[in-house]
Amino acid sequence: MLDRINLKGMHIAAIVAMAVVVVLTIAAELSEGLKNLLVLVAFHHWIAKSIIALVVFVGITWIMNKGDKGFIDKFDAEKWGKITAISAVLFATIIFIFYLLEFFS
Amino acid sequence: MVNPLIGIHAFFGEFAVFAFLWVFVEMFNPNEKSIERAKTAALLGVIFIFASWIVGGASYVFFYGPEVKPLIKAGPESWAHSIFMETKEHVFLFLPILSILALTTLRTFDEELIRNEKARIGLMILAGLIVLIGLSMAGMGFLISSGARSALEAGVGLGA
Repeated sequence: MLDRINLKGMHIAAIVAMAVVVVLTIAAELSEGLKNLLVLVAFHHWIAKSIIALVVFVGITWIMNKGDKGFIDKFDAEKWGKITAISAVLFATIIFIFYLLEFFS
Repeated sequence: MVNPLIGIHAFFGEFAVFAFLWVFVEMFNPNEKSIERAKTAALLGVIFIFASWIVGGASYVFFYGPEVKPLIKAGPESWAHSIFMETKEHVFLFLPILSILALTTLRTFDEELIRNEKARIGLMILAGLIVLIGLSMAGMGFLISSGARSALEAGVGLGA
């Protein structure tokens, strides 16, 4: 399967999709209208967020893969693994702190 | 009896953690055979995470939301839902994405992983991250079920 997919593009898609989850989560808690819209779209706000995250991930991966797929020997998997891992931990911490502050406010 | 969906959700989640732990271990000293085993483990991990996602989602929407959430929120440990369940249900959404990314990285580099140390470390970071997030899911699940148990011990819902 070498060279068939743009792994850098896929890492970017993963980071953007996780960021979208964070933004949607906080925005839906602060805006009842957005939460109701998500419920209207997919029966439950969590299902809507799940679908949106997956669509964003697959969509950006597909777009990034349309152009230059990149060469696997030039792709720094260690660097991108670290960037994606740090992003995921940061995003998870933001969600946790948001609900912590919501609870005590 | 407790709804069996929550047990099935936890089963798939825990086996997904084991699968990616297996991928992580196979990358310490890879050869052709260990790469093949890691590919099987990563595929199983992705399947388990998606199964956990679907079963957990059904459990959350049809059982937890209408029955358990109000109980916890009325009990002495309402933070179990307000902080940990809310965090768990949203951070969980990272796992299907990260698992597909790990599987694709493994299948793309394939036997190149034997020679390419950076690719191996990149894959180990992703697999390790999935294991850590998965374990945090299990920990938060324990806190949430403790919240429900403390509500029942406090007699919440008995007078209704």
